[in-house]
Amino acid sequence: MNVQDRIAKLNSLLLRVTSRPRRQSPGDPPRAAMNAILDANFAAPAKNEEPEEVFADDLSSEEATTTTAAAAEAALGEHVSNVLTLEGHTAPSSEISSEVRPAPVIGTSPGAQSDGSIEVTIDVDPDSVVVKAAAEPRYDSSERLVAAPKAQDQVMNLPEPLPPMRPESFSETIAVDDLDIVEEIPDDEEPPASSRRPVTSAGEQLEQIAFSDEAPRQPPRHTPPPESGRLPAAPLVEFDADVTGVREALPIDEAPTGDLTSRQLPEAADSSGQDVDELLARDMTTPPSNREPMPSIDTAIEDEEPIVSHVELSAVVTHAALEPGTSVAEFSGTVNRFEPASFGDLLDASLSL
Amino acid sequence: MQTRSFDPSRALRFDLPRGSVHSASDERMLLLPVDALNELFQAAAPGVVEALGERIGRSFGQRIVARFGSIDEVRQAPLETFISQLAGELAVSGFGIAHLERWGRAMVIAIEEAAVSDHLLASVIDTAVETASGREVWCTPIMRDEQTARFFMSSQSAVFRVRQWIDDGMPWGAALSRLHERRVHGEDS
Repeated sequence: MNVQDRIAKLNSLLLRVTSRPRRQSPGDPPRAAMNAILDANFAAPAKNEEPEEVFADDLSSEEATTTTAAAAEAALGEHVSNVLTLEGHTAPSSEISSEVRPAPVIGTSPGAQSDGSIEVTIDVDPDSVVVKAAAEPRYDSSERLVAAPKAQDQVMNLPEPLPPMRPESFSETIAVDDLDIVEEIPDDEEPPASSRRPVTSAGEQLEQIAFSDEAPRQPPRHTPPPESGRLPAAPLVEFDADVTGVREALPIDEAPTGDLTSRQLPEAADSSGQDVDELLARDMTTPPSNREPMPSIDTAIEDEEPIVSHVELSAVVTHAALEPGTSVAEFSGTVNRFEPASFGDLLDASLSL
Repeated sequence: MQTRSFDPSRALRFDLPRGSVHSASDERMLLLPVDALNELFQAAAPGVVEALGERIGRSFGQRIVARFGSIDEVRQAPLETFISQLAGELAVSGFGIAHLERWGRAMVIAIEEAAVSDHLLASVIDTAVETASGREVWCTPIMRDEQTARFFMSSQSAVFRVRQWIDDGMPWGAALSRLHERRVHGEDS
């Protein structure tokens, strides 16, 4: 049985009840008001149906009429609650109050008019209310509406709060005074994650370049960029002056004022006990204006002394002892001299060329 | 008849009443200015100058042969005798003083105080010797300075080789020496 059938059944029951004479008790609700409510809501279907066939078995006597009235009131309350629910007046609270005002009386009984009002209080569980919109002709949509859950439950089911986006390292404060880059740079620095080449320390590179005979393992352009800050000083290594030939020059104030030439170097070196290279370096530091003029070539040859740097070579000639007057060449015959005897001989000789 | 020297007497005979000049062989001569003749040679074609030289040299050779009596006598004549006759003919005509030089086997005629161009002189000498000796002789100038002009006289091939070497820049003395070297190597081989 659908809602319309039930409503039609109720209307017919109410019409039957109202059409019979009945004593009006003080506690009973006014019949005219009930009719007005029914007429206002269900006027059309109630007037067109015939209730005799439906309730012929149940309503046959006067007592049945009295019990039927009580049942009609209960059904009316249920019907009103349904009507209120269908019209969208469902209150958010669980208690619904409806006040029915007096309506114009449709019935013929003048005693049925009354100024009283009906107050219906219905407890409605919002969760259990299921509205079937298809049952009402005013709603075109046939979809089934389902009541949303309580907002309190939704709030309780919220996910837990997200963790803080900023890492904990950001919250830390780095003190500038604690940074000592030069001292804190480790020698075995690991290569960055984005680079596959190994990163060698600056100390190893300097040692490799300075003391290794081999070429650097990596080209300079592949080496990491120089670190900012102070460069570590190269280790102090003493080089052998006899091997490299590089010697420190004497200070200018200690340099001699006289000129030292290549011929004076051995003597000066012997007298002072200093090395020849030191004397050469000392000579380079002496200004040209303080030098003595070079000796002439003759003087240099006369004062020839053994030279250390340049060795002059002279040939020792041994002449052969040849006896002059020996006839080496032997001539045979004479030169064929052309002496033409006549003009004809000369002409023939010239023509034969 | 042996002619040891050139006798210039009666080489030219001036007939003043007739206004003519005749050679010893009674050939009429014409006295011309040298400058006018050189201007003519410069304007004339090479063939014209060569033809004129051949005509002059042929006259010289014919008179030399006439003096010696025959070509054989000319060929058997000493060098001094022949050159004296040739030089006399050139001198009487005004071409210059001729000498004969012997560079090894090469015969060279040197003309001092030459009055005309080398081309004309070479043609005159070539034709004169060829006419007097009866042999085909080729002549080419090999050098010339302010005083002397030298002409090499030989066969055609020898003259062409020396001419080619001199044109290539080789000195004339070196060209003659090279000509003898090639001959010596040819004989040795």
